[in-house]
Amino acid sequence: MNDCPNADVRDLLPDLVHARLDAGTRGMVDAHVAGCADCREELALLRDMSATLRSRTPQVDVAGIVAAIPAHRAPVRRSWVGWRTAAAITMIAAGGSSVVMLRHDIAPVTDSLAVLPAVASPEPVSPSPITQKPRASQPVPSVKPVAPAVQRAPAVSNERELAMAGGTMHDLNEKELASLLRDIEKMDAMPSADVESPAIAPISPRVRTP
Amino acid sequence: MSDVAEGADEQSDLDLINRWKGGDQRAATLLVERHAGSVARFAASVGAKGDVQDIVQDTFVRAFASIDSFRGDSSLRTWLFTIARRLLLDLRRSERRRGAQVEVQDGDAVTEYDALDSVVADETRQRMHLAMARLSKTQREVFTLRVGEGLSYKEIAAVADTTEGAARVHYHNAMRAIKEFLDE
Repeated sequence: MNDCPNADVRDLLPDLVHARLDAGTRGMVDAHVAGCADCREELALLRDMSATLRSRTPQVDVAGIVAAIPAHRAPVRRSWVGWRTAAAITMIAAGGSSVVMLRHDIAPVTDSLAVLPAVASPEPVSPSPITQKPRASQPVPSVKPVAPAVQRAPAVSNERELAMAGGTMHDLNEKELASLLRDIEKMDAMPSADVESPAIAPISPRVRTP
Repeated sequence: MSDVAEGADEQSDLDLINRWKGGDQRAATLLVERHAGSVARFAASVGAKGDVQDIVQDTFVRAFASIDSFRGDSSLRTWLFTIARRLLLDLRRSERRRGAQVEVQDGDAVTEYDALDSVVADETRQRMHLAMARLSKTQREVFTLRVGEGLSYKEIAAVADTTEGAARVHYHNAMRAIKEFLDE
């Protein structure tokens, strides 16, 4: 028993047996089978196999099966009121979460703002532990008072203060950066790089040199 | 290929399903009468022996219990085959866990078919049974669905949890093996 080289037609032979071909396809397959001995032989085999498979159908108790089938129960659906309530709760929960997240994001900025008055305060700021306890073995640079610069701090915009207090230079836009540079140039209390005097004046840790 | 014959059946199947939903128990009987034989043949081809009746009954019970999830995307028969196959796999799995019965191996099918030989009077059909018995389990499943039930490769893939390409390969390998056996 040989295989027809036309695999497409061979693929359709079981469908021909079960009458599952549309008229056009069936006509094409019939025409091929009429002129192909291999396909006629295979078609005959398929019809025999199909009949054989169906001949040994196990007996089943149809009445018993039907008796075991439960009565149909329509699926329980929630009322629209219930869905609307669920949707409203979800929206409220989502909104609340968003607010909490936003507040959480803003919180560190608010903390930074809280320390700004210390920067702008004209009163002397407590020296940092580092400046308060210089090591004797290390040369200590002389630093001039920075009070005037500290007093000018309020002129700095809030955004820049925020950046200088808790952020980095990268947080500034060009305008803020230019403004900051102008303010720095005006400062007359820049600490000297020379090591002239061990005297250390209090300096605000908030004011940084670029 | 088109589902000319099946299309008409599917219309009727859906009509019967709707009638049963409306309280017509006769519709359920008609559906069972229409498909029980196919499901039983399929169950037998994939390894059901003495429990064919249980498998078929459970298949219909589960199908009707979840009939609202059947949207007619596939044929009802294909859906029933899928349920039956899963039931049988679950059953065999639980049996293996209990150690009550080992999985039906490919070689066991010969014995299974041999037991039925006495009812096959025709010698040619008897040889066909033996040819089927020599197929692997997967080949036999695919061949039964393709030749015995007339399913498309797409439907077979859905039932047997495989691809259309793999189903096609299994079918042609089965066909070649059967031809070789019959030519011996």
